Amino acid sequence: MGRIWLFGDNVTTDAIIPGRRNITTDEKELARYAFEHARPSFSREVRDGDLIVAGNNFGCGSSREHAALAIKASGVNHIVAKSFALIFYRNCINSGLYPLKSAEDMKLRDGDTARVDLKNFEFIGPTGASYKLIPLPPFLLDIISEGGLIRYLNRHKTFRISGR
Amino acid sequence: MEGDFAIIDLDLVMSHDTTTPLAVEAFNRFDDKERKLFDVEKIKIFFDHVYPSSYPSASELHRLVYEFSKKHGIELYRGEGVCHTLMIERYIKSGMIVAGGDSHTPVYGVAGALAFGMGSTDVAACWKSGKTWIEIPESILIDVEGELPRGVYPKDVALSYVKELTSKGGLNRALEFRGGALKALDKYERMPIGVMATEVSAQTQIFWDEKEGLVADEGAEYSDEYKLDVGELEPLVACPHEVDNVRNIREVEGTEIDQVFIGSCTNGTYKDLEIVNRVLKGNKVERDTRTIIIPATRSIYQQALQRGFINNFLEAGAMVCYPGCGPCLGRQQGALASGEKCLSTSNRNYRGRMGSPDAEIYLASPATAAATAVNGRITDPRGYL
Repeated sequence: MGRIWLFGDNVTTDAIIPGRRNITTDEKELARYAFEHARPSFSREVRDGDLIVAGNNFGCGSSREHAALAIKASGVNHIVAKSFALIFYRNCINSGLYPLKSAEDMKLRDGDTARVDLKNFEFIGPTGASYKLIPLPPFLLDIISEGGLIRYLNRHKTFRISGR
Repeated sequence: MEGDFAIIDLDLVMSHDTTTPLAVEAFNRFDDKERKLFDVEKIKIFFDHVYPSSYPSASELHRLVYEFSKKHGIELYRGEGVCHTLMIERYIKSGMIVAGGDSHTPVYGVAGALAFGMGSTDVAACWKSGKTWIEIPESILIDVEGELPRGVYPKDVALSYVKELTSKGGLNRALEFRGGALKALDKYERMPIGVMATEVSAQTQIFWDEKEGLVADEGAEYSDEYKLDVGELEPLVACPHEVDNVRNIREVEGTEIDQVFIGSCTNGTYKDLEIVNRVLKGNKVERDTRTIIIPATRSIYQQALQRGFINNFLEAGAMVCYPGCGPCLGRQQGALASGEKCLSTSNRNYRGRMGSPDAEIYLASPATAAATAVNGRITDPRGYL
């Protein structure tokens, strides 16, 4: 179980980590500035296993992979959103962070606790209510579950596409 | 078909000084014997986002990339200008397929290339394999007809479709631009329209061009079709803090502005500077309005020097800086203080993008920016042209 950090639509990668912080590749340093203006309490209060839940177009804007790394290094492993901007979505998969699309409206409050069941692609809310998630395509699930793109390519040498 | 995954072969792979350091670190995690580039001639790296650096930590990353490029023999551009404008000046050809470690990479569609933006780990995989995966997008057709009125420019066309589609309206789709209004525009003039496709969250964009033999398939299907008649268009301004918060200039005219920035991949070309020159020549910028002008590339800078533009800008009281991304992304010159208002020709006005989260950013055309610099307030450029 983890705390839900609730966000709205069109959260930009600038909001996840401002441009002036991207002068390092040190993940822990990046995590210190995660959501520094959008949610000033985030980096102080976030705990391992917390979840981000958001609206449409999460991670839009700049291609900076620092955004996915800052979230991952904060201890968050799952982001559940109505939709994701594509580059951020790919950056999550490549970094081993699960970007999950919700299949139905979820009634949640910021600060609630929840968990994700990846076997059944379900989001389990604070009262035990479960919501359907859209299953990740097998091709992308392979990349993410094998620890990201570099490990995947070290193992398979090439992309192995299997359906949608 | 839409929604299917496809593997594509790449003609070029681009990255810059924000995205390349993480790409180098990712590449170095490939197994020893796998650490080879698919084709060094097809890989280009640019230092433009934070170069020359004002931070020792960024300088360390520049050195990391420099040493990597030198070891592998990769062409590295340092301080010669904004990656996208240089790519279009030197490398992009109609029909190419390109990947780039930058969200505005799809702009290469202005020159007939199909281009995709990505993050650093994807770039590392492209360096090694010369391939990447895409999810085949649905397309949106944008038909741009009519003749641009005096004082109205491609940036206004761009803001007009951003307003229409909204920030998430093109989510992961491809935009296809065609129509009579675009025929008169060269690839540099098209850049603001191409760049701003990213601001409606499109995956890519392309300009159809019959002269180049670039036309859509017969019977191509679109998820949406828009028709823009630009004949009646007026200067537009994207207001804080969302790019799709677009207003007619009359609604914001008179807003006091602390900083004007003219440049970036969106509006830093020679023709942009030519328009700025028409406004600034013989005029003075308002003394309380910091005015920063950055030619997008070295060759644009040189042309502007030869034509006397740079001297006119300096005489007007503007600052002219070396080619690069400048204040656009808040890492170089011109960081905004709290409460300050900036009018910029760049592409994003997100809260905190150019400095303090309590600053405000307005986006507009170079003509509007230059007129605003002269007046110190948001100003309709049509009185100055």
